[in-house]
Formats: sequence, structure tokens, C-alpha cells
Amino acid sequence: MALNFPNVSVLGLTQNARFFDAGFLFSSTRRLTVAGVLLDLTNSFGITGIWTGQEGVLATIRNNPNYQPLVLNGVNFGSGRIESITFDPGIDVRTKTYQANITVFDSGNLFNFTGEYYSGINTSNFQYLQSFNETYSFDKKLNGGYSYTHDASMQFTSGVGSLYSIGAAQAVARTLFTGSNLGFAFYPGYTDKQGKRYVSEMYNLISNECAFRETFDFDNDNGNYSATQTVSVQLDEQGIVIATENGNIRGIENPNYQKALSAIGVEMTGSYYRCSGAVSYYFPTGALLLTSPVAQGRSIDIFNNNINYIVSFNNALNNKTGYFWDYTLEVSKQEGVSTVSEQGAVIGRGENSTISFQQAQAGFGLVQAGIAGRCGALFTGPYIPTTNYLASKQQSYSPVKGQVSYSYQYSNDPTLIANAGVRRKNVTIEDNDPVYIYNQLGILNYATILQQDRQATEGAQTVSVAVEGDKTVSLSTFLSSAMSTINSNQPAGTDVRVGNASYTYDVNQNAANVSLTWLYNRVTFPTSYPG
Amino acid sequence: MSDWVYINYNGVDAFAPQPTPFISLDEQGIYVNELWGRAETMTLQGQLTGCTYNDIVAAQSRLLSRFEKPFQSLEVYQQTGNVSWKVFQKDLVEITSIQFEQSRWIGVLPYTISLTCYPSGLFSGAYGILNPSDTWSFNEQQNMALDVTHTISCQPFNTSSGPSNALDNARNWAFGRTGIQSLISPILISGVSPDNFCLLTQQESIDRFNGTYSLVENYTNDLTRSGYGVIRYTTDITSGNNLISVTLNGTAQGCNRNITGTRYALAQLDKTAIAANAYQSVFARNDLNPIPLSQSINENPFTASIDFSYSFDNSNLPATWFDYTVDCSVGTNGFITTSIQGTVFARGGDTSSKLARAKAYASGVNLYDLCLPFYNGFDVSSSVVPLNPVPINISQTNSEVDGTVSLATTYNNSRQFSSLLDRFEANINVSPARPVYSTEPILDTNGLYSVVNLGYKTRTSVAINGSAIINRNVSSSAGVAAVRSAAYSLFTQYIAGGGIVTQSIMTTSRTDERVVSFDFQWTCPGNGGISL
Repeated sequence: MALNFPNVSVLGLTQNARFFDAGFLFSSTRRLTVAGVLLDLTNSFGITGIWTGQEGVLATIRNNPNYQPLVLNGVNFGSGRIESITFDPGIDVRTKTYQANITVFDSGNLFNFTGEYYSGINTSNFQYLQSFNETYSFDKKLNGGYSYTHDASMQFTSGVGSLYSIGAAQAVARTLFTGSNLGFAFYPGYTDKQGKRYVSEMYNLISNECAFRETFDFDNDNGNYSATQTVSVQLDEQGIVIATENGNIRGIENPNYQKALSAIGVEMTGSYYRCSGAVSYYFPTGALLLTSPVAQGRSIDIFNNNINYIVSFNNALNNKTGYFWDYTLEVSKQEGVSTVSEQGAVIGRGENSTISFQQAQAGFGLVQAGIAGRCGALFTGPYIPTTNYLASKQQSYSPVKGQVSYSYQYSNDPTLIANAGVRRKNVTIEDNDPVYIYNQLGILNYATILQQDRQATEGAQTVSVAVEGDKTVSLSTFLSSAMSTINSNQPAGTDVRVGNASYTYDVNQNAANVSLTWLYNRVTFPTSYPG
Repeated sequence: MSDWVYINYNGVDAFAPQPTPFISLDEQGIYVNELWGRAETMTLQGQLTGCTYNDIVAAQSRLLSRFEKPFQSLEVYQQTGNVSWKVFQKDLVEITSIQFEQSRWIGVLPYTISLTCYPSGLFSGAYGILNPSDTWSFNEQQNMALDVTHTISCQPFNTSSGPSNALDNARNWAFGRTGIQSLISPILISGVSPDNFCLLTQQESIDRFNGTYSLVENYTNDLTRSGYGVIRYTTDITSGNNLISVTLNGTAQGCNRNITGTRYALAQLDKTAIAANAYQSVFARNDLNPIPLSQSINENPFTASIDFSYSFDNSNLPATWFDYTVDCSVGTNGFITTSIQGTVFARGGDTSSKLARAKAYASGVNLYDLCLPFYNGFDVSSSVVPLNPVPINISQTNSEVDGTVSLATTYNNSRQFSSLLDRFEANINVSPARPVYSTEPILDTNGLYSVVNLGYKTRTSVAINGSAIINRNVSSSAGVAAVRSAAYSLFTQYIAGGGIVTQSIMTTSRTDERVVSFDFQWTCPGNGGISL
């Protein structure tokens, strides 16, 4: 329905061009003031007639809310609405004047709204914009990343034909936030980054004000993801250099968290080089970091597209490829016998028990080969003689824990003779030398007198040999070894012969004790003894 | 009665006996983008008359008193003769101002009265409400949750000629708009499901004197899944030395104190699959153990939130396993002692379940077989003498508190001479055959003896003695027979040849300890292993 004002005077018309400051005429408004008069020329008293007319005008306006075709004196001025109407005071008997303020919208002229920065933006309803604001900014960050904020707010006029104000705003927003060249100098390729933008939208259902915000933020640009790291190095009191990298990975391109997940391996692979680079600068004389990390941790937040990781390396001597090896060497001396013991544990690395135990066993194989050398090197100084043999060993295996522990003892105990076969031989020699035989005769009130018989006792020498060795050694080998020692200890004299012989063999302990007594005669005595 | 026009306010002729003022009417559209309502302003312009100052003051006082009460009706009547009728009526009129012009207050005093009203029929929106706002705000969070704020605010006006109902108008209007019925779908944010909106908090703000009112509803919506509540978690993965552990820490946030709904939502979450996916993403492996090592749930029924934590690892051990250590030691004699000690653990479930499963598993653990691989490779002596399967000692400890079973036993490589004997320890004592000499001293020779080899040797004597323990499943007589057999076996193993004479066979058995001590002696003509 049209707003029809016959017989009115147009008191004023102002057309305001509405520009965006970049020079785009998107709309125009015309503000009209019209004046009219209500007539009841036959009336001679009272206000009823005039006021009835006043109510009629008001009713017409009330029945045509918002924008309607505005016809003034038969001329259509476009779609307009009555902002206000004022009926002047008076005696209201025959006439009453009034003024009405009217707003009419007209389209703009966006002939110059073209070019790469504006292509694709939906301007079909721009003439009905009540308000519009758009800003966006790009921050180039200290860490090489970028952050972007894009705000747009707008309000389309309601009640213009069938225009759905919020829908019109959404249609514009959709084109504002997709694809166009935003004109950034710092990062012209921004729009090629198909990463996740975070969006806020606000709608006022009554005023139809709409606001949109899009943010996008990433750190150092690694392509489809962003990775930043900090590296810390320290030299602790024990002289161990520890290098730790803390990293953060965020996906840039969609699906961003999957890009981030895919990047974990790449970034953590490079951790060693970054850590070792820092270590070589700050502690150039120190031992190199071991390539195997001491610890690795990852915290994955797929919702926040945020992955944090930590990797630590060190140059501790116990850190070996595939395993950790802790050990101690101890040397002691008691009653002239020195003992060196090495105790240690090899802890395998591996993703599970099976692998880590395999690594531990392989590591122990390497460690074990060097035990004798490490222990042997300590038989020096006050701990000589250097000749030493394995006295005992102990090995512990923990398959689930992936660990092998050990304790080896080497000794320069002279009873140890070998590391294999007959390993211990303890020789005891008991000599019972011949002595002259005297007859003793007691003379009363005088003394005991001696008479040499010109004869002597027989000599006896007992050689006892205790031998023990590996289970590979048979009793006959033990006996041969023992007899070799016994035979090499025959006493000097005449008529040397076996007086007695025996041996004992402990079947389980695999130890034999061989004893033989030599008997002999001797006609010449040592002169150093009296008599 | 003459003809005239008069104006009533609050049912009283507001100006009599003074002249009726002129009335102008201004109607302004109240636009909230589109027309919300209309405000009408009436201006009454008139004059008070009086001959004296007191007359004017009295008329002015009368006028003020007649317009002292706001929100009453203004009516304009026209009377002709005795007939009057209402030309105009406005209800709930606010008296904005009454202004008397500068004057000497004698004769004539011009005045202007401004009145405002909001006619009830002229509101396309809610009557009694100004400055309305109903805003839906959607904020996509970095964690893929959508924060939704519904704000309803207004400035009400009084629509009652009696006690003010402005606040009621605001409440009625605002409450009528609560909820998600008016929700508008965002255009740039995808995955929004109004059915899953979870109302977290509500806020009501009132300024009862100045008449402002607002309601705020805060909702949350999970953009990553459908269903009640928002579930968020992080996955922590540690590795580097041994097992890879995966811990899932998260929060399930419900609303409306509906903890049951939150529980259900959390129950639908496949925690194991999430952990396995994260593990697979990092290591490209699919061997995460699906049984969680531990589970932690922390409920807050008032906020309908549940904090949860599930820890997994990639242990390839079965659901029940034996964590053990095999210890081998040896000296210089090849006598190897091998012990095994460890604990049976059950994964998952409560303690009683763990203990039951641990017990069942422990009953099937073959400790000897577990020791054997390590014993066999331990030392050169291992290859010669097998590990004796009869344990030196054995123990089992059940921990009902921990739900674990500890096992320990010790073996050695003492020879097993008979399966009927748990233990057989023997010494072989040999006096080998030796030549027999006759010796006589020769007088005056200072130590010279006549030594004559008599041309024969003594017989070798062999004694085998020791002790044995008979297996509990074997009769005593059978055990003693086994001891005898084992001892003789030893004898034949080390002493060969004919002419053997048994000197004594002695066994002593104690039935309480099933110990048999023995002492067997033989003589033989051989050399007993040593040729003298």
C-alpha cells in the first residue's frame, strides 16, 4: 500500500550520498519535509471534525509501517517511511496544519567497486545498509608467524519489501570472508592458506545488527603446519650436559590437527641437531650428545590444534645406543689379596619389553666383553700383582623390565690359576724332616746324658692339593693336575717313596682334594740346625 | 450551558475555570531498525488569567495539582448544550514538563504542558518495552567448542495507572524470549547443532529504579560430535626408554546438573580407540594394549562435569603377566645357583579380580622353564650339567592388597642321580693302591735305611658317603633303594675293574625329614685313578 499525501507542500528535500570513504557510493537517502493542512471549512464550533481528520491521517500512517511507496501529490518518490508527524496547535475548528518528516532510500552507484580487492563481494542490497564497518589486520609476529583478525559488522534496513535483513547480512559476510585478495603487503599469500579460522558471529534479532569476526593465527610458517621450539642446555654438577627441546606444533592447513600430528615425527627428528648445535656452541669441549633421547613426551590436543613435545638428550656415560649402562668398579685388598669387582646394570631401550630386553642383552654382550679389561686395569699400584683371574660372577635377567644386571669379581689370589678348566689350586706342603735319634740316659744325682744312635728318623713330606674348576673338568683331570703338583714337590733324599695317598672328590661341588705323603731317608743333615 | 471544549486529566477538568489550552500532537516512530512502536507527545499551550497576583498563583497552583499524578488519562471533550462527547483520549500519560513563561504574574500567565504517552495499540513489538535487544552471539573456540551467548535486554516503561508494572513488563517480555526457540543459525560456523546446546549459566540483571533489565544465557555446543555435553581431552604420550605410555586426560562437561547425561556421554566415548589413534598417529603402530593400566574419574554433580584420566601403554604382555628376575651366580667350581623371583600382575579390573587372575596365572607359571634359557647361556659349566629341576627352596606370597602374587625359587646344577631323590650329595674318598715297602734302619749309617719293595700293592679302598633327600611322592623304601643305586652308580663311574669287594653298605634313614645318609665302602685291585 502506498503512502499517499495529496495536497501537500514539499518544504524541503535533502539528498545525502552515502559513501564508503574509499569512494564507493553505496546508497543515497532523501529526507523530505512535507506540510499539509486538515480542513473542516463548514464547521463553526468544536474540534471534532478536524481531530477526526487528524486521526485519519495518523491511521493511514499507522497502517503503513516501515517502507512504502511514497506518493506526494501524485508523484512517486520511492520507498519511504514516515519518521514523524506533527500537528500544530490551534483552535482546530476549521483547519489544522501538520508537517511530516520522511526518509526515502535510493540506490547508490558502485561503478568503481571493482578490482581484485573487491571482486566477489555481494553488494546486491547495499542500498539498504543502515550501517557497515569492516576492518582487518595482519600482524607479523616476532617468531615469524602471523595473526589475522577480520571484523565486519552491518545492519540492513528492515521492512523494505521482502528483504530479510539478517539473511542479507549473512550473504554479504559470506563473500567478505571467503577468497578475496585482502591487499596485504606483508603476507599476500594469506588467502592461499586454507587453515582453520575461528569465527564469531553475533545477531540482534530485533535491530538486525550483525557482526562477524574471523581470526587466524599461526607461528613460524612451516608450510602446512607451524612449529616453534626452545632449546635449553645445561651442565650439571656431575659434568653431564643435558639438552632439552620444548616444541610446539600447530597445524595451519585443514584438517589442521592432522597436519600437526603428521609433523611430530619430522620435528622431533630434527631435535637432535638443534640440541647438539646449541651444546657445541656453549660447551664445545664436552662430549657429544648421544643421539638416543633420554626422554620424549608429547601432549596432543586435537581440539585446540596444539601439540607440545619435549625431547631431552645428554652426554652421560651411561647413555648408550640402544641401552643405558650404569656400573661401578671397586678395588680392595685384604691379607695381601686384591679384588676388583664390577657391578652394573644394562637397561635396554625399546618400545616394549621384548625389544628393550633384546637391547639389554645385546648391550650386555658388549659390556661383558670389556669387564676383564676394565677390572684388570685396576690391579696396579698397591693392588699388584697384576696377574688375576675371575673369582666369581653373577648375572640377573629381568625380561619384563628389559634389564640385565651383573657382578663380576676378579682377584689376584694366588690359588686362582686360570679362567677356565681347573681354575683354583691350593697346595699345602707339610714337611717332617729326619732328625738324629738319641738315646737318653739319666744318671742319678748328675744329669741326663745323650747317646747318639748314629741313626736318624725317616723324613716325611705330605703334599695336599685342593683343586676345583668348571664342570667340564673331569675327576681324572683334577687328579692329573694335582699329581703334577705333588710330583713336582718330591723331597730330596734316598728311597723316596709313597707313604700314603688319598683323595676326596665332591661330586656336586666338582672339587677334589688330593693328598700324598712322601717318605724318604737322608744321610746328610742341614748344618744350620744344632746337633 | 454554552458550547465549549474541555480537557480532563485523571477524570477531572484540568483547566476549569481557566480557558482551555491549544493542543498540538506529535507522533514519532520508534524504530528499532523497523518500526517498534510510536510515541506521542502532546503539547498544551494556554494562559492562566487573573486580576491579581494571588489569582494567578492560585490558578497556577490548581493547575499543578491537577497534573501532579502521572500515568493517568488525558481526555478531550466537546460539549454542545447538554451533550458532550469525547473527541480524544490518551491513557497512561507521562507529564514531561509544565512550564510557565516569564511574566509579571498579573492578568495573564502563559504556560506549556508537555505530555507523552505510548499508545498501546501502536506497538508492533511488545508493549511496555523500549530499547529491546535480543542477541545471539556465537564464538567458535579454539578447542572446537562453540560458546553461545543469548542476551535479552530492554528498558521497560510503566503501563499501569496504578502501581508500576515496568519491571513486570520487562520480565515478561525477556522471559518469553529465553531458550533456543529464537535461535538463528550462524552462517560461517559449521557443525552447529541446536539440539545439543547445553545451557551452562543464566544471568539476570536488574536496575529496578531506572528500569533496565537483561537476561543472559550461556550455552555451549560441541562442534566435533553430536550428543549431550562437551567432551575435551588431551593425549599425552611419553616414550624414549622403554614402554610407550599414553594417557588420556579430559573433561566431560554437561549442564543443568544432569550428571547422568554426562556419564552417558562419557560412556559413549571410546577411550581406547582415541588413545590408539593418537599412538598410531605418532608411531604408525597398532599395538597399543587396549586394557587401560589405570582409570580415574572425578565427578562434580553440581556442575555436571566429569574429569577423567585413562592410561595405556604398549606393553605386549598379556592381560596377566609375570614380571621376574632370573639370577645366576657361579664361583670357580662351576656350581651354579640360579634363582628366580618375581610378581604376577593382572592388568585392569579391581584388586580382587586382579588377585584371582594372578593366582590362576601363577599356578601355571613354570619357574624352571623360565630359568633354563638364562642358565644354559650363563657359563661353560651350564653346557655340561643341566640345571637340576628340583628347587632348593620355593615360595609364593599372595598380596590381597595389591592383587599380586609373588613367586620365588632357587635351583642349582647339582646332578640329579634319580628322579626319586630331591637331593643327592656325595663325596668319593679314595685311597689308591700303593706299593708296600719294608723299611729297617741300618746301624751307624746316620739315616740310611734298608728299604725293600715287597712287590705288591695295597688294595684301593673307595668310600662313597653323603646324604640324600627322598622325594615326598616316593616311598621310603623306594627312596633308600634309589640312594643305594645312585651310590653304586657313582662307584662304577669312577672305579673300574674286577676283584671288587664290598666292605660295608650302611644307610640311615629318617622318615620325618626323609633324609637318608649313607656310607658305602669297597676295595678293589685297581689304582683308584692314580697310578703310584
